[in-house]
Amino acid sequence: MALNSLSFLAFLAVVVLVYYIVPKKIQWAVLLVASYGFYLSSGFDHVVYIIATTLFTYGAGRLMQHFRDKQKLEIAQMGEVTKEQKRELKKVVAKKVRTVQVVTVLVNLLVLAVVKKYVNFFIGGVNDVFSLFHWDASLPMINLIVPLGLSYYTFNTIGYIIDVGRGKHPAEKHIGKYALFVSFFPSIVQGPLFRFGDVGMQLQQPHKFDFKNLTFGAQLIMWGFFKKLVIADRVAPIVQHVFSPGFTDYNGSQIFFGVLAYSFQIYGDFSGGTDITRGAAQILGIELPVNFERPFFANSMADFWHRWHASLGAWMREFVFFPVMLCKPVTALSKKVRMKFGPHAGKIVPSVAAPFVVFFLIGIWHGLTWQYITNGLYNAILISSSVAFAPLFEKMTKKLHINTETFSWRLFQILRTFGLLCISRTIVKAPGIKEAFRMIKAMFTSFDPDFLLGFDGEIYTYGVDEKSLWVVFFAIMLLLVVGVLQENGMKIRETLSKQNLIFRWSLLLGLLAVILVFGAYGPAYDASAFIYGRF
Amino acid sequence: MDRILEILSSIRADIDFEKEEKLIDDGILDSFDIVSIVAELCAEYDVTITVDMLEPENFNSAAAMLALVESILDED
Amino acid sequence: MKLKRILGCVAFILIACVMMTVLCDLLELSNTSNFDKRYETFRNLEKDTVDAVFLGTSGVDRYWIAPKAYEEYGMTVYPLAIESMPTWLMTNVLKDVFRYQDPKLIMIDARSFGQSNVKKENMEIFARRVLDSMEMFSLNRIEAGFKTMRVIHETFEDAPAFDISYLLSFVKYHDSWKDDDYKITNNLGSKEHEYGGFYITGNSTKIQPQEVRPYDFDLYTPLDPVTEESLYEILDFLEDKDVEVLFVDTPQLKDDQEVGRGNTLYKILEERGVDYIHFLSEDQSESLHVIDLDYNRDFYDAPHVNYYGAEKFTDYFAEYLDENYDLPDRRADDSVKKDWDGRYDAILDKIKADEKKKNSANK
Repeated sequence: MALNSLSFLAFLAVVVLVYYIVPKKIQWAVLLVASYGFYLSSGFDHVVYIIATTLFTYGAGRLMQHFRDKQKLEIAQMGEVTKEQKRELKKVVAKKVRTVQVVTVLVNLLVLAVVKKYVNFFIGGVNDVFSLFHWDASLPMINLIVPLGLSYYTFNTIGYIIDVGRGKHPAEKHIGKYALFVSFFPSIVQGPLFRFGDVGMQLQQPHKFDFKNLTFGAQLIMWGFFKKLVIADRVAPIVQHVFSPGFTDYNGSQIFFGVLAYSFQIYGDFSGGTDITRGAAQILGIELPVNFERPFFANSMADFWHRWHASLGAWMREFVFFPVMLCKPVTALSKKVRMKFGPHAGKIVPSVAAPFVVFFLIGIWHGLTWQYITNGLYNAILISSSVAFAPLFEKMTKKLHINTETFSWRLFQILRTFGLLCISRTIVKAPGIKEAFRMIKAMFTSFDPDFLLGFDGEIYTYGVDEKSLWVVFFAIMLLLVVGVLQENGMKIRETLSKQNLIFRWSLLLGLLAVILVFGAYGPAYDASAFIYGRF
Repeated sequence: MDRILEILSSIRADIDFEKEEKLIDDGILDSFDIVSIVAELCAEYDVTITVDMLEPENFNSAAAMLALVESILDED
Repeated sequence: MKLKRILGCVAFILIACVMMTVLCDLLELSNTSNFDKRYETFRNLEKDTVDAVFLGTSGVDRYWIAPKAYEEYGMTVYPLAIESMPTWLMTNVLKDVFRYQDPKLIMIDARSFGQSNVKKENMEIFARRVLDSMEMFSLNRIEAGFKTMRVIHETFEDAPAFDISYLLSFVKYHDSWKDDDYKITNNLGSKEHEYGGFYITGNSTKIQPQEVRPYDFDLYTPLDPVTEESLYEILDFLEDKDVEVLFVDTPQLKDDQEVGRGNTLYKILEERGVDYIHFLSEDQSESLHVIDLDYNRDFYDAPHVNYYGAEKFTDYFAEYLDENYDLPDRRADDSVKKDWDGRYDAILDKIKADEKKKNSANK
């Protein structure tokens, strides 16, 4: 069941109705049943994986909790103990907990790697070596179906295991409530990622019906539909056209047009889907973390990654970046460098190293291909260098007498970031890594403004006709206007709720009409075929 | 307290650490800053700050950071 | 406060529904043959003033000049025809007929039963013409939509078992603003069909001599399964109504497939004791002398008469109906007058204009 489908809305309506009718005590059970119902609609064979992960991580959590509880009990029974003894006992328990934690995380990651065919990347490599030596042997590729939301629930459960290991919260005792945390239906499709201590607890709590949650949630869903149907799905043919392997017209402006379309497609698709997810959760009284904060207004790559898929960024920061930065080898190295080369260098060395780890992981999270790995590297280099050269840049802007507090400077930063991103997108979206480099080269070497301005009409032959292109243009303008208002601190839905009824309703109905008329959905038709025909 | 303020302003000179109470919650410090601060604090006070201590409430203000360091020193 | 909110929600949803209806109307596919207008005009006729309904396909709307028969005999016989109307939707159309009118006679175009459903696209197109013409939110329309889904799915396995756009055509048509010939004005304005259900095509004044083929009365081809099932459904439906039924096979040159199916149809009708009329003989040209049709002058293609053929057919068939059925003369009835008067003149004017255009083009 796709999030942007009528059946999802109908499903949600039924769930909401039941959710607020049943006694508050069993609301969580309604969500659990709904989540599994939703999950099953994607196929029966998928559900095996999520149940296995749920049981496995639940058990691991309970085991860690068991060690902890036993330790407490022992300390209590020992009566008078010295600090030393206490610390010794803690150390033993910490080691056990740590073992469970590491094994669980590794097993989780291994499942992810096998199912998402990462393993095939290595098998392919081994086979390449075989054929290099003309050995008549090859390892079979493993091809399993990828169950719905595998990456998302795997990361959520890893977060849970680490949090329990760190003692942030006790392990969940109730298997049903834990299963709900793993499978919560709107966010299983494309996130956002969340923590057990936050959303996991919200899911268990009773929720009273709240009119504001209903209207705000519905509005967010509508906005999500707008992004997905009117922007993302409308420009999809352009992206398909430019980035298909058959496309050889490597003129810079054509590529740029494709990348531009892709930027809005992926944003509309991903953030629109998140809006629908968060809106649906809000109607149920559950607040999911914000995942997108107007990434088009980012003034640096680092800023972009705070605004784009923020829940993954937060996850990476919490469970990869900080642990890497604070692990003993890195701190020791940092200390050494600091002693030798001074504090700035001491800061740089780990700061340069960590983004590589994080972006390598983000890269392969999307898929283990050379394109994703290259893109991860590209982002890591940009971010590391911005940290490393920060003092240099500061000096330069001072020397050139650039006022960094102006709108024009901000605009420059935004456009620069967008340009850098376009390159990143091309790396990922091109049919292959070689094509990606050719495309990027084309963008810098040949440019045909006539094409982009539509003078020669070629721009309308990329699968989206002139009328549709205008619709998309105005839709993006609306998106940017709303973005500017939000950047300036306006809370759109709050502000809207304070307006006059007529204004408010006209705006909402207008948006609804725009989605219904201009959205790309439903079976396409050939009008001429309807008019003619035999008889 | 002065010692900690000195460390903090050596990392981010543009922030008034005496007044700010929501350094993390308001996103004033980014993750690189936090890591630098942790490294400085560890070096200065000779303590070990582990990942599980990286809670927003431990880093929202200079006072909170001082409290964190003191609690670790206490433990030892 | 709570009540106010609920009322607010209800009001909002109502307004949204009204908006939706308007949008559906504005974005409807426009069609050159106005079948939706002809259907809607039927719905808008004064209640219980239509004595007979001629249900069918292009074998009806190009043949039966209803306003002419009205002018001459005062009979109100409306051609409720949509090109290639699928047989499985005929009972639904009939339900609409009895909802608005109380006819004494139902005539059904026999050529519909010669159809075979070999192309999925055509099944969809033909069905949508009917669905789009029916009232948007009627139960009958919904039933017809589900029926269409079932029939197409049963005939072609790869067709979806459920497709919401059969219930809510907006899902399919909302993109029509993209079409080059879409104009918002197409769907505004009067839904009145000024020729009283008679369809004047661009070919109405065209004359195309036809080659006469022999007709084999011994050739039997089974009906398409969907068609056969529909036939029994229609016959059962009409049996329950207090109404006379006549199947009419309007003149055309049939191919072998149609000949064989036609014969099968007559056999079934004879078994069921249902009246039918056709204009066939072993030499297809001979029988046409009855209506004085001329294959060299009165057709624009093999399955269709032109306007001149339609005049002759109407002359003959109106007389036939007048002699065999007890249809009242309604020319004095004011409520009928407003719906029927002047229609025939409009047709004559249009044909004259078309002839003039054609002549000047020929010069």
